Amino acid sequence: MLSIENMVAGYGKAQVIHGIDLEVRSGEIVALVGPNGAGKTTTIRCITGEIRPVKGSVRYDGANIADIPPHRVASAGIGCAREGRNIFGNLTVYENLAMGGYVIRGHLKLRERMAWVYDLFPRLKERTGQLAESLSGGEQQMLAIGMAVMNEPGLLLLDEPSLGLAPVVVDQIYEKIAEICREGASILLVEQDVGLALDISRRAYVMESGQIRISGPSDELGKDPYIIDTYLGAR
Amino acid sequence: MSAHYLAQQLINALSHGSILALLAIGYTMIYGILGLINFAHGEIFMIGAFACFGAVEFLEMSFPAGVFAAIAGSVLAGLLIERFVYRPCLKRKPEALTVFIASFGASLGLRNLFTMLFGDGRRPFPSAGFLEGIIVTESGLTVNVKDLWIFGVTVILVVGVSVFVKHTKAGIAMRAVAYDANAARLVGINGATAVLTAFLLASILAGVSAVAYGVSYGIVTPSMGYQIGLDAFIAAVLGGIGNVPGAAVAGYIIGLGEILFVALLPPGYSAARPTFVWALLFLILFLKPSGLFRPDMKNR
Repeated sequence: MLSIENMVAGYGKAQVIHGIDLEVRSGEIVALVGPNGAGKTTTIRCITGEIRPVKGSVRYDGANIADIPPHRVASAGIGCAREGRNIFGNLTVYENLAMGGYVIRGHLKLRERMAWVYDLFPRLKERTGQLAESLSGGEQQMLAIGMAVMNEPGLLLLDEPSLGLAPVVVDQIYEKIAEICREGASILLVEQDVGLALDISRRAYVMESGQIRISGPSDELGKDPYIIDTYLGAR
Repeated sequence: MSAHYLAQQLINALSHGSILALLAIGYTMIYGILGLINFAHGEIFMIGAFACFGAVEFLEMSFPAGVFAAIAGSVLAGLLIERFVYRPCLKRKPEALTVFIASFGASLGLRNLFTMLFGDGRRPFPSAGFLEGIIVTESGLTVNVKDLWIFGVTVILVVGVSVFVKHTKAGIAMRAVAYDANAARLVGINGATAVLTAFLLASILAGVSAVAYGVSYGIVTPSMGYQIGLDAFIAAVLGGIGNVPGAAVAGYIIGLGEILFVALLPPGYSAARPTFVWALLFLILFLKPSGLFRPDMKNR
């Protein structure tokens, strides 16, 4: 589905990612964890096309997408819900979802997807005419994810979906993430909360200083002494 | 000041307010989406007036064809400015001051170019039979037929553009790009298309506004866009930047304010009209920094 090979990337002269390999297979949730500044978000940005990798390839369904602009990556079937919540505060919930489905052709299809998202997050339906900026943090995160799945993406990129949310809300969001995966999307999940990420994912990559430090099945990584020491110690 | 006198001034402000309203929408849309003040908007307006003048006077087209020539001239100017001034400039993510200078430079350059080509004299603007005539109401108010035309066309355009921005997919996408261009790209919206749409609409309205100005004041000059452009910009700020109907309403407020300023004070003061508008802007921003109405296409 998604396969990144030997990717090097950065901002201007500052290289942030020093050659990583990463794969997301069809129907699985893959976690990408690691400390702040490890290059997780930069990796996401390379997939969305916001940053062009200096070296290496990013393949989605066999096609190299490393050089195509973000709006075309989106229409190729990659959805993204971003840390900081890339919602449009000046638009209503309904308008935000319509924009999430911007590349959908046909009114019927759009309606159908919107109904699906409202089903997934009934709270959004209650707030349909409200401006997005007036939503609570949890509702905004639901909206961001709802927008990202409007286009029925084959691959969903989730960047820190738990950031700044109360534990109860985080649980709700994670339930929905699992549900989205069951409906057929593959998911690449970037998460600071390593325990949470390992619980929900099938496989995981641990990224440190722009490199993949360890990777493997999530249940095995959860027992790895290094992971326990470094990331799960407080548990 | 009698009610009758005030009503007459209100009627007198119809055209001037319409000209400002149409221009203000252009400022507000381009600021909303690009975050820049397009000072060359006054020149896009001026070029529309010259295009209409040239089409009717030299190519001997009919007046309605001249209106389309004005729109075509303004659209051409607007798209060229976007393509050759703002796009290369913004691509390099410059400082706000650099963009300001580019914008001001485009305005100055075009005004100078047209002065060099056509001289800075006034030329008579064409008119048409259906625009002539004066209606006197039973209560003694006089209304120019052309003012009714200008007001009517303006109201239709303002409503049309407002509906477009508020309710169509392309309009909602424009507001999305205005709020967060990067997030818009992530859902598949091509930001460049949204920017071009904004320039296209802004320029069409500027072309219509140019015809309204020409019909109303009867003249075309290379510097005609300067003062009126500033006034319209102020109306855009007053209307809550990015708010299309707000800009239009503010255009009429400024227009009426200017007419009343000139009408109520002794003739010697009318030269201070621009200062009056600036003072009004300052006062309103001082009291209500976001303008009179809610900004709609604000940047995050």
